[in-house]
Amino acid sequence: MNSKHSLKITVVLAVFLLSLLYTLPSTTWWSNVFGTLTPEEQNAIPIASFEYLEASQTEADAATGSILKVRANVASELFNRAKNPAKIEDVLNKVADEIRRTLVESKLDVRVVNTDYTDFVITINAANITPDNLKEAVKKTRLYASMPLAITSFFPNKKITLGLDLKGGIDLVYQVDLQSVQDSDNIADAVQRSVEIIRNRIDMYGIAEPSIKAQDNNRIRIQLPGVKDPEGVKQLIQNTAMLQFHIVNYQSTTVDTLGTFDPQSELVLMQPGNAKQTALWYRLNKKPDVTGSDLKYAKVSFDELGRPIVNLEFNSDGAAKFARVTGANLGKQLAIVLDNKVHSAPVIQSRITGGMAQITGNFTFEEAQNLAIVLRAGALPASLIALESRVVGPTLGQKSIDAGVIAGIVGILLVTAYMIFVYKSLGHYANLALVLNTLIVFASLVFFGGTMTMPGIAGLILSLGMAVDANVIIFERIIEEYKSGKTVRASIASGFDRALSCIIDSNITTLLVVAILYAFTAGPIRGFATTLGIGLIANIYTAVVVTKLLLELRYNSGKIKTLNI
Amino acid sequence: MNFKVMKNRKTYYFFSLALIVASILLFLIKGFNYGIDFKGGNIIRVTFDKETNETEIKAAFTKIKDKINADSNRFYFSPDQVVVQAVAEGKQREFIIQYPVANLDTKSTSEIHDTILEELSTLLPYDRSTREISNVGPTLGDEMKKQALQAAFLSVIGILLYLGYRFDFHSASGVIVAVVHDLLIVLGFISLMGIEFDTTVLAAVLTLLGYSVNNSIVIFDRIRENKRISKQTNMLEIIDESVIQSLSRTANTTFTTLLALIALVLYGGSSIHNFSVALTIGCVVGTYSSLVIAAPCIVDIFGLHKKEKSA
Repeated sequence: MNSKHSLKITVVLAVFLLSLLYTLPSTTWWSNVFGTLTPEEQNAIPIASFEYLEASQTEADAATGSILKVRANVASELFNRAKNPAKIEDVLNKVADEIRRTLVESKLDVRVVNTDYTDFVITINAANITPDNLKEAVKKTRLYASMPLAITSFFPNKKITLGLDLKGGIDLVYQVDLQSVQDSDNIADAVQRSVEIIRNRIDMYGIAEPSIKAQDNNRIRIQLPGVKDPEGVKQLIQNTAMLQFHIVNYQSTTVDTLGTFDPQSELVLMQPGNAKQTALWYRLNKKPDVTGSDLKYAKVSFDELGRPIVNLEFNSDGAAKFARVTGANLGKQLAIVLDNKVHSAPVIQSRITGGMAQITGNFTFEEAQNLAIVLRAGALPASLIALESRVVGPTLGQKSIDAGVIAGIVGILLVTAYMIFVYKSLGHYANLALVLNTLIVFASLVFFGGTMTMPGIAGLILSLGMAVDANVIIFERIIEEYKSGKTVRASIASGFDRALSCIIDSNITTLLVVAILYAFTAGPIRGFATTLGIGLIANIYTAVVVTKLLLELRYNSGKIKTLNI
Repeated sequence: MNFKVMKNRKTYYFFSLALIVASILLFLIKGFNYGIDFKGGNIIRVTFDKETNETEIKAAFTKIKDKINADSNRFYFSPDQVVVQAVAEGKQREFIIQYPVANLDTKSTSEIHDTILEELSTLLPYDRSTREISNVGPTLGDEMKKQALQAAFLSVIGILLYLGYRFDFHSASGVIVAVVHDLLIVLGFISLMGIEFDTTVLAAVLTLLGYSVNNSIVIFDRIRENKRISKQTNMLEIIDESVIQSLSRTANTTFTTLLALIALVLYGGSSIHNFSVALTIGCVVGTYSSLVIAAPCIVDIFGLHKKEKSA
């Protein structure tokens, strides 16, 4: 070993350790040991603060159950960062929800019963379980670390990003319907505003890492990974949320009995029927009296029967309009029209002056909440046509990941066994390089924030097969040189020299194709191009630098005079 | 080793030409089984709560049609056009349901899918967390086809330019002939076997471009070197010598790649099955062409056998 080698060894070891550093936090083993909650969350809501009580001590009617009190550590780093500190309520709610969800998954009857935002304590109620057993159950959820958390601070706080096909979620492409854009409106501007409004709606709904982009031809692409209720979110996005109030001229159960209709001043709209009520048709004044653009605020509350309703508050302009129209039309019906469908048409009982109104109806709480969000975020300037919509449920992706991992392990075993079979001891070096190669690809994906998709996993496995190619080329050359009568040492040196141009040329052309693939595609296929591309670059490195170093270390001492092939 | 590529090259040409003609005939007569990425369409993959069968699912679609059309005549296809497929290990609960794409992307055709799903879940309840839904309208499908052709064309041009720079025009042409040869034959296989042509299969085809080039380059690299150092002076012999020298490399690399691919075909799961099969075919064809088509063909195309090395 000389000084040139020791430098190389340091570099190779550093690459290996760095790759390991970036790979480990993404493994299942890691989340089993260090918990599925992030280290920050674990510090913010420490498991040491959990109190397990018998339900009877506090609540007489739930004598058989237990109570878990979860307390936020207000002094923890997450809430006291200089930039962008997390809101205590949000973290507390999220962690409590995770605990509830995982406990429900392990077949416990659990409910979050009480949230105390002054002391930041959440109480979780579990039926038919003793406090000790509940403690065990919480431990088994592996939400929290079973090894000292301090270890994780040596590792990067980054995990592999999974694509929609693996994580579940939605991928939507919308076309802005140009016919629905107002004549006075600029189309490009309408598209841009639509993007902003959709972003607002999604932010209010609370989805992590949304991607909302305007594309060519007045299109909008929306990617939302990990969404649990894709349908609800889809509705949230594509509702134009155009809210209008029209005076009703006539109401009927069929369109034929509406009477004569004057298209100049009137408009015919339907109220869709449901299980309790048949559909209704309305003849309305064409010009809306009040619109959603005068809206100041919208929020969900409950009527006296506990049914969810949406409360509207208008600005002063809207309030004045409201007062005028209700005052002038006492006894008539005022139709609440949402996206060109009549939502309801209550009779005006008195003049409404405060600028407050409410929308009642048969909503579920989620529907009411989504309606409030879209009204608050404002109406879209145009309606959207869904060109493409892909929805993947969250558990389907896990199946694909499992299949990919099995295929990967089988692939590695087959390839490494073959290399040892064909190249004997040389094969071990190729296999070491192969393992390092795989680690580097994975770590680079984590480091650069690339997305792992199912075709991406396939690309990784495929690059296992192709990764040994460079080593095969080198070994064949070494063997050739050796057979021509050179010493082991000289064979290795000239084998590498001669293989180099071939390795570079073949990998660069393949990279060229992969780059074109990357540029022309999106979604899962782009993930494939990414892993294959990184794989090719790592391949050049491991073959030309790592294998060479290993072989030189082994054979350059001059002690080994024969090559076992 | 007794592997005379150049001597038998006419036989290989004939064999390849026959495959290419057969492939082109297949494109013209049978065409491709395009997936919804390219032709538009709708796929629902669900696990129902109870066991069910094709008849029940189709009956559900008839009910959905009646219900939707009672409101407005928006239901644009006939329930007979619904294709129901049971998933192999799905215990008669997991199904893939396909229905056709509308003629035009409009607001009402794009919204009907949500209504269909909602109605389906009331008629035949299913687990929401395990399902996968893809709706692709007619507009995007056409654009995808155009993009795929552009990508393939650009790849070929890129390869030609790079190799023209690193090697010479003759070698670059040989590589391109081999690439086009592989592309046509693999597409022929895809058409013949009726493999569903979706974006993952397209990715496989483009990857195989890279793989085929990779293999050919190893041989042209050897030719480049042998032109400099070999005792042989005739181009025919140089090619023969180069192919034989690279033979064990080609065999071993093909074998390891095939091993990885076999693992993918057997264990990779249904979502990438077509992709893995297409790559496996491509791997075999790509190896074949790099051995017996890429280098030999330039001799005949450019009349190199008449020249001596020094010329």
